[in-house]
Amino acid sequence: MEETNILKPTASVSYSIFSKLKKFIGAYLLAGAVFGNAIRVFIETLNKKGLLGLGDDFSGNDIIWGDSIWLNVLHLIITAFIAGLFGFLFGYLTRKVNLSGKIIFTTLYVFTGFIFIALFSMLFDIFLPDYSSEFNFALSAGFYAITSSAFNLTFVVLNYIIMFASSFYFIKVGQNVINDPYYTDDKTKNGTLLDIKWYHYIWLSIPLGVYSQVILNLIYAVGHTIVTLISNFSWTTIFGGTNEKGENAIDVAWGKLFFIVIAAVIIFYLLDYLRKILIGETNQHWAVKLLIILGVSIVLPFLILYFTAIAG
Amino acid sequence: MKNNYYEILGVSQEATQEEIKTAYRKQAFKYHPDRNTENKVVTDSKMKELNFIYSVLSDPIQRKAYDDTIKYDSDFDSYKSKASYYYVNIFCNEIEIEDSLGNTSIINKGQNIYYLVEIDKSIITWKYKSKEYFSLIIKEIFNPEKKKSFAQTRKYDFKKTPLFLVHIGEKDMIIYQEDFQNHWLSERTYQKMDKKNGIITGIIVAVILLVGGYYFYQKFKIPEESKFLLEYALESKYNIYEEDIEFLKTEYSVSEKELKYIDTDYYLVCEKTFVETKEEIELLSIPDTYGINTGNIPDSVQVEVFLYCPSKNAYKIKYKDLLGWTSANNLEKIECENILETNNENE
Repeated sequence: MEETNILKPTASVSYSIFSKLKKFIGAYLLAGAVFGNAIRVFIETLNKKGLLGLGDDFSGNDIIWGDSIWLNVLHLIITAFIAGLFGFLFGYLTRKVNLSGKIIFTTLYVFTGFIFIALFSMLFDIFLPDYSSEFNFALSAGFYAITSSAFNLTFVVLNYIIMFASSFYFIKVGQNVINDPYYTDDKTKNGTLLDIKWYHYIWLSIPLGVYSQVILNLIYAVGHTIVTLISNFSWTTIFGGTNEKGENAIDVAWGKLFFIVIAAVIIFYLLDYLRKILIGETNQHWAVKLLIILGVSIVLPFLILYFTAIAG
Repeated sequence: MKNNYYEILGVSQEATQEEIKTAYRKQAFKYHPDRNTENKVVTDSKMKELNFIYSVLSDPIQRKAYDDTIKYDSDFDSYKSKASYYYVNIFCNEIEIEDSLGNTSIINKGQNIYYLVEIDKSIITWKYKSKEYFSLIIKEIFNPEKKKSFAQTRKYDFKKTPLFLVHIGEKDMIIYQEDFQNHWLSERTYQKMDKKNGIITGIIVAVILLVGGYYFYQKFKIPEESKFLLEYALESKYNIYEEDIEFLKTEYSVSEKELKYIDTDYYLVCEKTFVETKEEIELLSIPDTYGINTGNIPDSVQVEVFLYCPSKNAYKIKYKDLLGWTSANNLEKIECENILETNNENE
């Protein structure tokens, strides 16, 4: 009978709850550890530069970002973005989730932290009873600090509501994309994103996390360079004027932008090549493939983090 | 090209249930994705197709219904190949029809239809049957009013009414109206059922959350005697005394942001020393080159130095109305103190 490329059949689906749980882990790591962590590191970097003024001991993982409404609103926006990304990836990787599945996995996503707290508390109670009261008191103090302030409590509650709503809604978006009859990618295999199987994203979360930091930092640097360029604009610099170090400000700004573009292009091509290796599109010897994988996913991120400033 | 379910399973149309089961298991073993790691693309979709076929052929009623349709499928193939000679528009975009649960709804092209499949599953040695809905997208809807002209064109009397053209595995398939009304669900019915199950799950999840919340409340409740100490710790925003904070704000124009850093010994206070600029200085909003330019101070003028940030080697300076940060390299070196020591001295 007729075969056609349009109206592709429903993507290959695995209905098992364990299969969905595996995709949940993949989506959770990819959204949280990769993009979420990169955003948090970026926020911490901005704070270290003195732009946010949240104190030297501020951590991007804090559930409340200071006493300012706007910073907490920014936190909510980031939470909504990461939760949405998780929802999209989960919906996309699992292909089909019914309403019950959506409720269960969204709740699991929102309350993962509490599940771990309860688990650790139980483990302390059983195996380390001497430290258990100390551990429980530290947690109690943390909960009290949040719940005793109406301001903090409001934002914590909003945080969980937004997390739930965003991830719940975007699961549907992810499913709609993959199940669109005219969408042709990732249709034949179950649990793939860009043809890469979900389990690769567990280890890929480490290098992708570093590259996400680089990308965020580069985006910020581009914005800053443009603002600097405009705010310091004068005709003398264009016609050969120099700054106190003998540099032409416009030249410096263009140089920075040029470097940023080059770095972004190199990273894009390296990641694309890594993807081709992982999905088996290249024909090198396995040892060469392994070397490239190690180079792109471990050595290069390490070099970027410790010897350059481009990851912030 | 294998044309029917029997050919796909590799059995004859007269095969017994046992033969069908054996053939299905043989094929499932052959195409199971765990055994075919190199060609998962084919095996995933093949397994989906095999599960569906087996669910139809293992049920005597559905098998009988399917047997009746085999000859029509091949006839449809032949019709399509000669469509240019006998063109009849037999399709429409939507149809109002009753499904197997007796719900009438309008079904559109591109929507899903659902079929309940029982799948054999196992966890280690525990074997169980799982009921899951298998879905297919409707590629075309046959217009029932055109059945007669379609039949006339082909000179064939259709005993069943072709309803939907769907895509399964690697081929197209006709779903007949009689089969649809006996075994399939429309998207609307499926969504209703999904909603009902979702509400039940939602209630169960809410109960679990309430129990969990109560557990957390009991487990991590602060004793009354400890509340006083915690409240005291929470009220004191900084380690610096209130009067010192006021002093820093009025005398050194210290902002709330900077206070947080001073609190953690990040900045040092300079004694409002006056120094002369060696060259034109660019002022920044923060002690970092990423700061935004807040203005420029000309060469050879006296500026007041307020704060020093050791990690960035930058001074906070004031000139007339301009206040901002500049690199320490632009000024002479000035002695600055730790704010916490200053507090002690004030005491």
